[in-house]
Amino acid sequence: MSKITKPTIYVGLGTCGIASGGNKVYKALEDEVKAKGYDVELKKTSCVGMCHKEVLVDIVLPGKTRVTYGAVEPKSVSKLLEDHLGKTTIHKRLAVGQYRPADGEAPFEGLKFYDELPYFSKQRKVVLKNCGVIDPESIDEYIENGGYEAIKKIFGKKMSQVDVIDIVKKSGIRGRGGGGFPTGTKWEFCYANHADQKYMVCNADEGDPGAFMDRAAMEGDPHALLEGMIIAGYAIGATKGYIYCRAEYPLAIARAELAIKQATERGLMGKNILNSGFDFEIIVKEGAGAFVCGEETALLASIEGYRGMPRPKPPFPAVKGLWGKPTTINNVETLCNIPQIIVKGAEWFAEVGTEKSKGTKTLALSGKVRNTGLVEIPCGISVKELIFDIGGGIKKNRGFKAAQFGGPSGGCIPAAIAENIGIDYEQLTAAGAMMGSGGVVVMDDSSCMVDTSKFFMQFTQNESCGKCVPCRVGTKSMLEVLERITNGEGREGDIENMLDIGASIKASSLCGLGQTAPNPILSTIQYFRHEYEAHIKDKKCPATACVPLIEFVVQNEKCTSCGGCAKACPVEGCIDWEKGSVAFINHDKCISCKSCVEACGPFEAIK
Amino acid sequence: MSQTATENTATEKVDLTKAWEIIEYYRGKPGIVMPVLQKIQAAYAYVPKEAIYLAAEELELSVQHLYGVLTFYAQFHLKPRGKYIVKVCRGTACHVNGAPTLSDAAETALGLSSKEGRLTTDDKLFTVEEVACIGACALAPLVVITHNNVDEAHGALSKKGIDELIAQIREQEKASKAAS
Repeated sequence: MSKITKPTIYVGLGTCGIASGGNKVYKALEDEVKAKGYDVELKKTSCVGMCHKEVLVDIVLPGKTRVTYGAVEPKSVSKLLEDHLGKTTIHKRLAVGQYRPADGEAPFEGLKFYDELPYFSKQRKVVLKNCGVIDPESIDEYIENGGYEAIKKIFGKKMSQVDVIDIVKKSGIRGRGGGGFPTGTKWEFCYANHADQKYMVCNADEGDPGAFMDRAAMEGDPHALLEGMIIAGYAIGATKGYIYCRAEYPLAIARAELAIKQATERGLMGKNILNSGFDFEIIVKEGAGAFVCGEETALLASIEGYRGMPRPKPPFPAVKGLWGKPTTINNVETLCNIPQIIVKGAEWFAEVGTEKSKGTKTLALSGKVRNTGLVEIPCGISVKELIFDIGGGIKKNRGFKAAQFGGPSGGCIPAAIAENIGIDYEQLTAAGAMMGSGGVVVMDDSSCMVDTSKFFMQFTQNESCGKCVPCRVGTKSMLEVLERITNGEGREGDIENMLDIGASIKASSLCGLGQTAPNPILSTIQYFRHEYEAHIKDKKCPATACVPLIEFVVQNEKCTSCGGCAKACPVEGCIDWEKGSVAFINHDKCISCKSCVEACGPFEAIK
Repeated sequence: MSQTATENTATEKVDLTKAWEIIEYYRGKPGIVMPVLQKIQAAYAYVPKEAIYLAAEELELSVQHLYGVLTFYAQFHLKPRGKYIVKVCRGTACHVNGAPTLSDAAETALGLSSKEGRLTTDDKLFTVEEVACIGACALAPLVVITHNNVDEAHGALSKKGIDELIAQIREQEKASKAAS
């Protein structure tokens, strides 16, 4: 961190911070600073990853370490500033942790350092090192933290395109969008094809439900992405770059556009970058809501202004890509790694990780886990470490059932093997899941695996572009079987039927969407076949998630006779209850809306 | 794709001034189909039929091409929508944390039914939609309310919370109507 001369307050205003009321906290801080006449600088930063502790506010005083406060509300602002700014003491109630002291900084007593917090101690921040630390709307802060050093090195030392490709190849970095293809090799293909125009495209169409790493990286450190793209563009010989970002990420788009403007003004982008003779410009293209556009050929069709439908490969984009010209497509996270690989070297990058999966991976941890948020782990740590050490275990102390990796293209890792599976490309794939883009949704014992599979199949069926038959018809017929099963109409042979259709879809679909669509089902059948059987044979949903299969019953011994359920029930005459007596549910009238279960809440008397 | 293309049946005439400006701005540039349609949608809150025909003629594109694109992507709308768009996230984390009950609650509160294709209230104040993962999964279940092209996200929302949000907007609208 650069030295500050006056007290500085950072408010975490990524999408998640704003959704938690970050703007209201910012406003409250502004008002309080004005009212009390504090001499401070108020700044915006992005997401440091602790989404479960939003709204996050950092305060740093000259000569003292930076302290993070969590779960800040407008009403807590006054006391917080009084303690920290007025008395130079920690406001204990909301304090989360402090940064390690830099030169000349003194730490606060009695407050843990970031790397001592369980959520951070096993993480290693490379891609996210600036996220939640710097102001993403300030190019100066990026530069102060080592930004644009990589292109200065390349152009200053007159490194050739081949030099750059060699470093990237040596680092062993593989595509972070899910495919895992070696990035350096991809660049080499494009470099080798000669053309009057080539394109560098960044895939920021992070469509997997449950994945938000790329959003966080773009919102928190947009200049790192631009720098990575400039380097990639130089290496392959492209003068034009596109960021294809999904429209669901308006803040990421706005920050990328601002960053492009700033970098162009400084001569770090545009014509003759740093007097190197190399030109490079970037255009942001907004998607319009189609999951399949994450597939590279569909993405290119979308940029060109057509329906986003994939086409057969070869020819690969490195030969015939955007507007028929050689094109390299890399994911956001991949590109964000590049500047640091150039500056610190291939060996530095390859130090971390496993034999074939080098470096770190960002993951979006969500679902029934205590510490939800954005994490960056060294490749290879176990699924159990991720969920219990970093994630803090399961909410409400319920049982851990499985972790779903890779969204609608991936599969699940059940609790029984979570300890033995390391998070890298090979191990996850061998276990029937996949690294995917990095979404991890944690399931507890109340999550039904059949229902979850149905959810993913609904998603892929809905998002199938319809071009090839196996995907269009296959996903539909698998979904129909799943719908029958979860409606209590499952038949003998349904499981075998799905395994059969699934294998055909995987083998014969045109693009990655279809080729991976059956994975969530195949993997849950592999590990949770008994749950499918319970639905089919016993017509029961063990996790009580599939509504048509549940018969709600009041547990007499737990009922407090409060009548909350009867008041919540929307059907007249469904729940019998009188003051002082235990409630009773008439099954012939029950519409399985679950209103009574919710009303009963902590008593858990209705099951 | 999920969206069913039902054309605008509104009888009032559409003022095409804004559409003209957008078309003029993009004329002659490459890869403009999506941005032109997106800008038109941003200006009108949907893509009016008249604007589609105008864009096709002026930019020398076929109407079929434009309709092909418009019906492929979930975020294009061919019918006028409400002043406030209630978007319920249908991501995985939101799903396991109860997003389906939120959709139902929003529809019940507004008297709408996605099953019957009624997504917008008669007073054109609200539209309820399910949208692809917004990417704020740690705050599931999430609802975004869009008004005048500004998104406001509400995290960790309950059934009660969505009722309150809707009531709040109704109050605001009533107050601003009374004031004018």
